[in-house]
Amino acid sequence: MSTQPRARAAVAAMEFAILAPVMALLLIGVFDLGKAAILWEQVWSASRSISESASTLAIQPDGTTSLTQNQAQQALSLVFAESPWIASNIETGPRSAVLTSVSYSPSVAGCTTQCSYVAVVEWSKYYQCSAGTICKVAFKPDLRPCVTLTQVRAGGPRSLTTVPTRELSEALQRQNVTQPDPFLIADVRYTFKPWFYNLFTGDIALWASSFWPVRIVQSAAVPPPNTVPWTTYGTATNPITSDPTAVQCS
Amino acid sequence: MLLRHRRHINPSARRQSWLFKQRLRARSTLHPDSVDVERALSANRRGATSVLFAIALLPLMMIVGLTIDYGFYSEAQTQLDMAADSSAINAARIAAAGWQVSPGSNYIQQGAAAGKQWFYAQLGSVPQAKVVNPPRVDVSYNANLRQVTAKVSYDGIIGTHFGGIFPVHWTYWPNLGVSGSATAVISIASYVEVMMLLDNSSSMLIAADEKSTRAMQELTPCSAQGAQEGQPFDYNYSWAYLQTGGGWITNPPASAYSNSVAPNSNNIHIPWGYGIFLYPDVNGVVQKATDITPPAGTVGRCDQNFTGLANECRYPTAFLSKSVSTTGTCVNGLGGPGSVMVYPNTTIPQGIKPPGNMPQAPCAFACHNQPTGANGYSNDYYGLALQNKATVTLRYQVMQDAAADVISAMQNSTSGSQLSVGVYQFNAPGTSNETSGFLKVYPTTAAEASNDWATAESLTQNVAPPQTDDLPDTNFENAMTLLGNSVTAAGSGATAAGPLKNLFIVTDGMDDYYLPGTTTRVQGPITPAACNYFKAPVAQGGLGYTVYVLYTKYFPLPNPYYLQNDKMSAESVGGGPSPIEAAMQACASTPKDFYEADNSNGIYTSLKKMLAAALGTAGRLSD
Repeated sequence: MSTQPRARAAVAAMEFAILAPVMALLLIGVFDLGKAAILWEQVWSASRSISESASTLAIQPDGTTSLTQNQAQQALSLVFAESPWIASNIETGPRSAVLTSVSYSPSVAGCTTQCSYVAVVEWSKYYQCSAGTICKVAFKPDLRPCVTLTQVRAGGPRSLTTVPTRELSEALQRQNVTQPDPFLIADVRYTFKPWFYNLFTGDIALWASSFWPVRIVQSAAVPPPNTVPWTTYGTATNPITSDPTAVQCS
Repeated sequence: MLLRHRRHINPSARRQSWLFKQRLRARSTLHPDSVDVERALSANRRGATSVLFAIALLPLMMIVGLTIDYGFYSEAQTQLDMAADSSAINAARIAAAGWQVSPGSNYIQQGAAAGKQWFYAQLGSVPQAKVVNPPRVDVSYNANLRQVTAKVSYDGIIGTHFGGIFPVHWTYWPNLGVSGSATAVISIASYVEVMMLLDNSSSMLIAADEKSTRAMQELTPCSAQGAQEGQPFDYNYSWAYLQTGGGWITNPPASAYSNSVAPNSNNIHIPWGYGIFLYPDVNGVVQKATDITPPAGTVGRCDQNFTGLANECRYPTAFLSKSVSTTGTCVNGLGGPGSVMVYPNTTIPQGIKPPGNMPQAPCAFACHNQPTGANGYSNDYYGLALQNKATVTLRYQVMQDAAADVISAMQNSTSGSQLSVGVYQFNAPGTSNETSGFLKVYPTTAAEASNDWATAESLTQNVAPPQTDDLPDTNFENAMTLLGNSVTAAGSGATAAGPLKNLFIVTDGMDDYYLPGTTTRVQGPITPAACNYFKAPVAQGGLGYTVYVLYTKYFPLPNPYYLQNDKMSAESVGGGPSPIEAAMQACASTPKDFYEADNSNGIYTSLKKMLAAALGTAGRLSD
């Protein structure tokens, strides 16, 4: 009689011992995935804020669009506003924020009608934030290279040398648009390192890209007095070329 | 049937009866008199953890599923909203740009098609989400508000990971619906009024560029640095310099005075003309030196106190070669053959040349001091500059031409019929208002602005400089106050009666006026508060204008005398903006509405940019 309670208690302990890890993993898994989901949403929001803000800052009074390197850096810093976790050192994975100006040019030089267009990188700039008091973890110097970007279909493979504008360009060609709008790309990337989930999948790479068009319409009869095409996100007084964190392609 | 019905409609009653039974069972097993207490307890404990876990697993899994699915849902919604936002902006922009090119084009369709493509490009692939129907892009143009509006609506589903596991509809959903919309607005081609307030003060009469400066130098004689031809010369500078033969002293000793009469602004004049110190007058008596031969080809003596025949006094067509700087520099001490200098502590020793180390500089300033003259040209450097238009361009003329250029651009605009212009200048030359107020140059009617483009364009040439030399002729505050009182407030731009209004101010920013009721002259930066009435929104009692400022900066002249007052205000303070620049910047509606130019091209382009800014418009998300 006297041994029975001890044996029964052991049964309960054993059951708990078997189930506890399962429950713990389940809880950690929920925690991991929940965190990944929140980060993913933050990365998208950051990308959106950066491109929206940059396109607004780029508006010049005379209808041209240009950004100074300080403005580009300012827009990129919105990653902090949108993602407190990336700003702090709660999350320590590799991160980067890149702003790129892309413009279309006819694939055949001198083309005037029904032209097909290639997407060319004008400049690209990464968010420079070294590890210190502001950035707990330094941002990686990712850049979109000075190449003609491969235009893939919407939802197609994503890389720093592709852009999902194939249908868009084809539509422009069909509509015989002579000067397609340039756009800004904001790439925000973060590699999330889950505690448990990466036993199955490894790190989770989060990558949000936003493509933002020109906002401004210039009065058609008042062409800009200079020769710079007014629809490129060029640079104004403070040329981006002098910025070591940027690449100017043309 | 009744029982079954009750059972169905009243599950709580069922639960209560079940609880009641449980309580009875518990009481019976836990009764202290029972012999089977331990056995009963052990029976209850066996597998308790497993059972509990099994029971908890369902809600646990549901919570896990909900967490994960909510994450996907919220991420997908962010992506979809963003696609809608950017495509709405693109649709509105493409449509508005199409309208600008040709209001008769199919800009609505173009905008809608562009918006749709942009939506897909931006959306890319969204995990678990699917757009059910193509996004709806509605582009419209409101002719009353002159606005292009693009609304993008989407409608999609987001698949859930755990909906299939729990196919009980009230527990979970296999798919969640998602929908949203974004609206972008761009205002185009409003009714816009542009009012130009042009600085017509003497200081705008400097050569416009290096080439013209050089040409003016070659047309005008060398003069002593720190002295201005034709003016009472400042003995604190030139006189003292002459006395000591070098180095400036501010208080000439008594021995320097002529016949115990201190030289002052009334008794010493340096006539403009042939080198320095010709025709001096002392103690108010003009010393017309008869032994000085006027240069060949010139007539008369053009001292400002000259009392001879008017037609004798005109500007010489050529100066003595030695007095004219052909190199942009002057030889010290050489005022040209026949030059004399005044030596005040003796009787007037005419024929003595200035000391060899007297610095001299050519003049490039077309200051105005003789309103009339032969052949329609004034008898001064302004007249000289006008006579030599082929080689000399004054900043003043550049401003006139740039203003005409703006008017021409407005005329050629596709929305030209909705635009109007007014041309105004500071003060009214040749009238009692020469030192204050403003003058309306165009329109010639009572209206504040109009669109008779040809007349407006030609009348820009009527913006005239003051006729009296050395008068304070830039009373900016007074001009702004009076102008502000004479115009009406800006409207929404939706109707011809209520146009958007813009004020373009072109000035070198140097205020120069008499204190009210006195002859105390004040020079310095303008008071930016004078612009506030124009800038303030109508709701706050202002005029609701957008104020654009073009600051035409000074650049150094060979003879610093002319701009020495301006220089103090126009030079940078501690590496920052000069007082004038800071004041001009503060006058503009926003920092982006402030422009600076120190050359002709800059004046043209800045004014064009101001016009583009006044007529251009940016898209914004309204919803």
